[in-house]
Amino acid sequence: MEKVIVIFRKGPYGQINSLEGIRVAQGLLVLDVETDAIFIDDGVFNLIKNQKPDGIGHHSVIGALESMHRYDIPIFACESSLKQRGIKPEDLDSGLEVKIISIQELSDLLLLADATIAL
Amino acid sequence: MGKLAFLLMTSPYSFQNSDTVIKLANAALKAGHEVTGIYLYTDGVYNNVNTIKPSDDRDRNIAELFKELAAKGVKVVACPICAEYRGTQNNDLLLEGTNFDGLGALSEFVEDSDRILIFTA
Repeated sequence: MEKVIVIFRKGPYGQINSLEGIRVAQGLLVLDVETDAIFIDDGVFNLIKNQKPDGIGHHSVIGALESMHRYDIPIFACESSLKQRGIKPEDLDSGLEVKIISIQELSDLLLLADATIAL
Repeated sequence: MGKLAFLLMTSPYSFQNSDTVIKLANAALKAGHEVTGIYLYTDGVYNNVNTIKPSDDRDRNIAELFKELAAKGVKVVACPICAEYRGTQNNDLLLEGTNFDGLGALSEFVEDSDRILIFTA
């Protein structure tokens, strides 16, 4: 397995999918598998800056994403998913260095992957 | 003052529902309302398993939080048939202060409450 893409489809809180996606990505890193993270649909809400989840007793997804990104996992966000939700590039956490891509570019990335894991 | 009951149908940690039920129930008690009961149904029966232990010890222990609610006098009741299906209907696994009781207990909670709040996937 040379390249895996983890696809984040759900918002950061309310269900555990995002945090588990990050854990999966970190696990792939340990196995030395090249890994990309793609955020589509409500998944793009994970990337918004200034999240303060302390009050609901959850870990910060942003903190976990930043640490994932520091280990060289590039982060891509679907342009149309962002637009549909009224999210502007400046609303995203700058530490994540999000690359905003079109549906066409997203398809190209997916075709290059040996496997995808969608959460 | 009102009377609230809760129906929780999801497992802990996978969804925010368990946290929401715990926080709402505590807030309602603090505001002087009555919580008639919390019924754990379908996958909700995983919430009162006493072996719950987050591997990250900074994380909240949801079972412990239900135990605290039970200690405040809130009835925390799990469906025995749902637990049997899932292999958790075992008194060794049953969280202190909580118990198993059939759907009759749920209907009593509904009858005794002004509102029932339902938390599902």
